[in-house]
Amino acid sequence: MNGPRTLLISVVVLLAACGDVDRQSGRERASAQTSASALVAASNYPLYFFASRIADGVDVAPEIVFPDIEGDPASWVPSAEQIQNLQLADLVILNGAGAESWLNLITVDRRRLVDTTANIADRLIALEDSVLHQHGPAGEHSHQGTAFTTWLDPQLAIAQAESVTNALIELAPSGEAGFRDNLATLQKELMGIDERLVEAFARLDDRPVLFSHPVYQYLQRRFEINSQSVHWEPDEEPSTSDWIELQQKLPSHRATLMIWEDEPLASTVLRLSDVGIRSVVFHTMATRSDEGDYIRVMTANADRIATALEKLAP
Amino acid sequence: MTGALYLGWRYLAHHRFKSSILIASITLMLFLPAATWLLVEDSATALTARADVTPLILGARGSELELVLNTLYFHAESPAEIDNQTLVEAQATGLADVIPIHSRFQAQGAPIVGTSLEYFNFRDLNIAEGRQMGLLGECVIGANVAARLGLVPGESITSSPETVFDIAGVYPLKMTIAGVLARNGTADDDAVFVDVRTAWIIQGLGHGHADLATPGAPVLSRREGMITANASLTQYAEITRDNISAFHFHGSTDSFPLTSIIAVPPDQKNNALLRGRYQDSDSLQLVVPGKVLDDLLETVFAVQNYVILGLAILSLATVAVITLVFLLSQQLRKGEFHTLLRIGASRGYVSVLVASEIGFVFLISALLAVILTLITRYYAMQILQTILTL
Repeated sequence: MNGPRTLLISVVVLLAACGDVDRQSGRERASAQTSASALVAASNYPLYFFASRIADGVDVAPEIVFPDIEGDPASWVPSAEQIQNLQLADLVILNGAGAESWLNLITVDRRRLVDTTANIADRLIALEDSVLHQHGPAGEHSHQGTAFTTWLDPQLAIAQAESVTNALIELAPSGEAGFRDNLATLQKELMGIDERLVEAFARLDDRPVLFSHPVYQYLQRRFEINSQSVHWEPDEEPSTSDWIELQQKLPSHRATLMIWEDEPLASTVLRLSDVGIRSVVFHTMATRSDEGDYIRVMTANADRIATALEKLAP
Repeated sequence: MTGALYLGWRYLAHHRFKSSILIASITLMLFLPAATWLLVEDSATALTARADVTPLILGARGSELELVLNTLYFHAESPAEIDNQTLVEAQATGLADVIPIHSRFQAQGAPIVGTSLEYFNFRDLNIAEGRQMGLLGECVIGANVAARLGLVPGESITSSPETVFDIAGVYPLKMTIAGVLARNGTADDDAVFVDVRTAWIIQGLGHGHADLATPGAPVLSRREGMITANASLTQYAEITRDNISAFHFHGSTDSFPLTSIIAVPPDQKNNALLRGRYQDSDSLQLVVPGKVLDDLLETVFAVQNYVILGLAILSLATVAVITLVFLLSQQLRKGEFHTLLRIGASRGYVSVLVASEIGFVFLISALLAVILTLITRYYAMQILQTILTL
């Protein structure tokens, strides 16, 4: 600041004053959130399940909530009320890996966010099919992403459960022993799921598989599935171009099994069977399922795969 | 004696013009030094009060005062920008909580402050009406902005272009008002608060447009993995629930700008450690706002002393002139006083008459000076806020 400018501001300040200033201390923060019962929001169902299991029966455990997500979680935009709840939560447990695209659209306290894949960033899978585009003088750019259904690999799920445990311990340190005991139990169950899936997918013996949607990247990598993905919705009739695309794929990728996120239409199942492809459901569990909790559904997923592969000709 | 007072009052009332000039002169003589002194004292208190509760401000090297005035009062002349990576790095030190400030744009005469929710806790700002901003493109406005523009939650306010001639610049953004803050008597009452990412959208670093990959999109060319939009592609001027998913940023947000960062260390030790970290930085400066304003106030007090000295000299001259006026007046009224003595008035009575005239003039002047000083103090904060945000 040069001399004349300082002098000018000085003169300006001389002309003004504050007869009615409310001189409250800004340091006195409104710490209304530090109530006895803390609130933890999980951003997807698997994390909600992990957090609930880890907090189960621990006296000082916070209340765990999971927002009611309507439609596709990937394109979910929280309502005003849901945003307010997220703003009020003491912790918001996130999947990370780009799963929470809504996080870029809302205002939350960043200090309260817990990214459960931050410690396994080197094990995340980058998506390759982003499209470059250009408009205006800003140059070419693309909206790249990362595969986010990490919980389909039970080993990554265990790492995420450990992150959840650490966050809960930080929030309620006196509950550490209880949280760790529950985590140990959960880890055993997740290892059990892992073994079941290893056993089920071993029967594939490198035979090609189709995924109805590109959301099974971690499953594919963990169990070394020889797979390709299409973009089919289980509740929609595939279009002619979808069938043509499939026909073009089959000569180089002779799949006999298609894995779906949900029960496909009977007509689709029938038409697929006509070309020698059996349909089987493997729920991704991004949202709550009527079939039961995460362990139950993942067990059912493994059983369905095993049964389907038993029925397939070698 | 009441008769002498009555005659004195009637004399002043009869010579209205002369009395008015005398009263005006004495009023100004009393008002100017008193008001100057009080204004400076109040200004100093007001300035330091906000600065004292803001422990540290991190910004680009340059004018410390500009950085502090922009951060505390959202002064229109914004300092050099720093990138968001600086915020990430400052947070990563673990020595302080950090709050981003992006104060560069205006909306209908009010500064737009891009920040995070932590700012509201830090400044103890509460929502009086509506709710906290939630979605990108929403804002909360200060009490004075709401009152001045007659805005309520649910209505909208539009950002202003940086210059009138910025025809190729970014589109103004229509922001939905989520809430109105409770009045707290600071610069926050005159500001429009948005998420820092909304401020980046206003700056043109993020935008929303139709999906170019869909059929019917305004595309100039489409080749393997690359789509070029044509000139008819319009960017959304308002963020709604329907188009919010189409909003995106280009490049890493780490490189996006901030005007400053408020750092709030938990204790003196962390405060000192943090200051040490930025001491030798070539591009950044970490300042203590209270100290910067103390330096400014030193200059203010020096100017004040000169002004008061000048006014004191002027007052002496005024007193001399008024004394002369009264003495001359006595000379002119010799006949009047003689008549009073001849019809039976005592010398004391005449003295009381003259004294009452002088007393009434000073009393009325003092009362007027007090009233003017109170009025000035009442409106001074608004004047100060206006000047600081210019």
